[in-house]
Amino acid sequence: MKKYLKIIWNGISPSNPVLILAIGLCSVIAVTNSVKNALLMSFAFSFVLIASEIIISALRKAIPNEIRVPIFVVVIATFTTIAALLARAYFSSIYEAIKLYILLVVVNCIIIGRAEAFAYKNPVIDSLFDGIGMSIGYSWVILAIAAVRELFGNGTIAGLQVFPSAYKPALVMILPPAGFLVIGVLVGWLETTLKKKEAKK
Amino acid sequence: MSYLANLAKIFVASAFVNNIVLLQFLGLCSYIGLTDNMDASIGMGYAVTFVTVVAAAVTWIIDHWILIPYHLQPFLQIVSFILVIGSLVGLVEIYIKKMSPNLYKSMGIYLPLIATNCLILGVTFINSMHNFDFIESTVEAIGSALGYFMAMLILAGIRERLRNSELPDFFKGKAIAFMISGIVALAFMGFQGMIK
Amino acid sequence: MNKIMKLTLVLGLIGAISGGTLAGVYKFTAPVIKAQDAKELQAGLSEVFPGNYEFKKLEIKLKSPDPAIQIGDVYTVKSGKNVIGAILKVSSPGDQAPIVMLVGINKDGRISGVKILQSLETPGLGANASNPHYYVNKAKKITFLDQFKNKKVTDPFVPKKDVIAITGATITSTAVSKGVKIAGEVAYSYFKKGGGS
Repeated sequence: MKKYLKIIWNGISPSNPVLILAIGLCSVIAVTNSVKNALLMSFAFSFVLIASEIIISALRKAIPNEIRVPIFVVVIATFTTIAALLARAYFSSIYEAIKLYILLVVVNCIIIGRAEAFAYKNPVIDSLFDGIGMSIGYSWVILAIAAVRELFGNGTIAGLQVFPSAYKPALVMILPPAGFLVIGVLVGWLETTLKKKEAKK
Repeated sequence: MSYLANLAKIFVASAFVNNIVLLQFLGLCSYIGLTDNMDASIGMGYAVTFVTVVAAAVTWIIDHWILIPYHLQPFLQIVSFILVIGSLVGLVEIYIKKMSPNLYKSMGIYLPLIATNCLILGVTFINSMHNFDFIESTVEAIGSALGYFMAMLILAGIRERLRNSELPDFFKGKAIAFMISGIVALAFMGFQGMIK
Repeated sequence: MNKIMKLTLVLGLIGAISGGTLAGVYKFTAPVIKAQDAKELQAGLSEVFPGNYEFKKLEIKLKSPDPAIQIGDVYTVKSGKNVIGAILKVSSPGDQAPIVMLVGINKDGRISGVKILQSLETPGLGANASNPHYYVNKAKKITFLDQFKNKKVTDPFVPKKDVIAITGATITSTAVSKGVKIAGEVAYSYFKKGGGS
């Protein structure tokens, strides 16, 4: 059990896919202008990642090494399409707003990276927990960024008024440029804390 | 509005007004990852431009001649597009290697990176969402690719200058690259007035 | 050679399984999507033409004078047996993706209402076009789309002249105005030629 917790924790912090590895960024900046968008994106991403990891790990002995990448891509593309169809059916208004980025989950470097680095080499149960850990790691980051951007840019969180309506929103926070600025601050903060930690050791 | 004016508008919109990197956030991995090196940025720019245009043309044909007529588009589009782009990149790589070793040296090493570049797949999806015809799709692809090239050159140029300046530790590396991009993106939003 | 055969077979098999799965999922979700769209369309139609009317889809194609703006489905609005107007589905190129909207036109050439069905405009700017709490005229609580009500199709429909633009979103404002204008003109000339009666 301890081993599994460790795998999950690994995704949440020490090798957080978004912050530490700085991959899969396209969707992170694009969908974080509102919490609702970020929430749907997290669901889609987690579904595709966990399902792909399980299938690839289960098939790992049957997949010939030479064509593993095309097979990973087909598996991931299949689950992305399923996620997109389900999102279209049950959350159509949010889906329409971030459609492009849901479709592009298929080329998200995090997913293909985890398939290659983890699922292809480890048993199903381990891969399941790796998928869960990485999904939590991805989701908490984009939800946190989305909450900050929506709060200051619109005075709301997930559409609920938080700041009094007299608050004049800093519109720039939900516009594209602020996405870059917020990520920049976050990455800077993370890299400096990591450097400090290393210096202490 | 005439057809030609419409094409011009698509071009300006995709290259400036909706710059694919700065305002639509596609191709960010290579944009942040490679721009600390000017030569790499240029090589990647050429490779992406070439593949995006070819991919847009090929996927348009697949979309309109196979997927739509046989009602497969809603569920087979993602799988078929990504496989087509993957094989296309492979073919282009083999072809260039054989035909022009010089060209291969300058852009060949970036080709394998491209297969998972979200920009190329993104452009093909955008074309399909807009219901563009063949020429419009190609123009959109050229515009987007040039927009990417331009963003790469701008950021690479600025980062080259930054190398010799003293930055606070906090900003060193990727942090400043993101912040610069934010400011350049703000500037690009000013292009909105270009199309009416 | 044997090896290549095996690889192709494996890849083909995976592809076939994937295609089969997707076809199954599509079969399952398609009716849900269709029902949802139909519901939204019905709600949209009665929002654009408020009142107790009957809407009927026409099997005709109307041509748009502008290649960038596409005209989709056409519905007639009936009060009893009389046709009193039409609703056109138009798509006009927006900021990132086409803005798809329903435009209702009275038979006398006045816009009865506009509703945006699909759009991908920048949140906080262009997206305010369909925001029910964003007023272009705060005193009278008129939203961006409200201002088109009762406009004549012969009006210029130019933002900052006879249309109040959304702050910071000229493209969106222009795209919507143009789409409404063209839908209006097309429907009006259709009526004048005796269509729909």
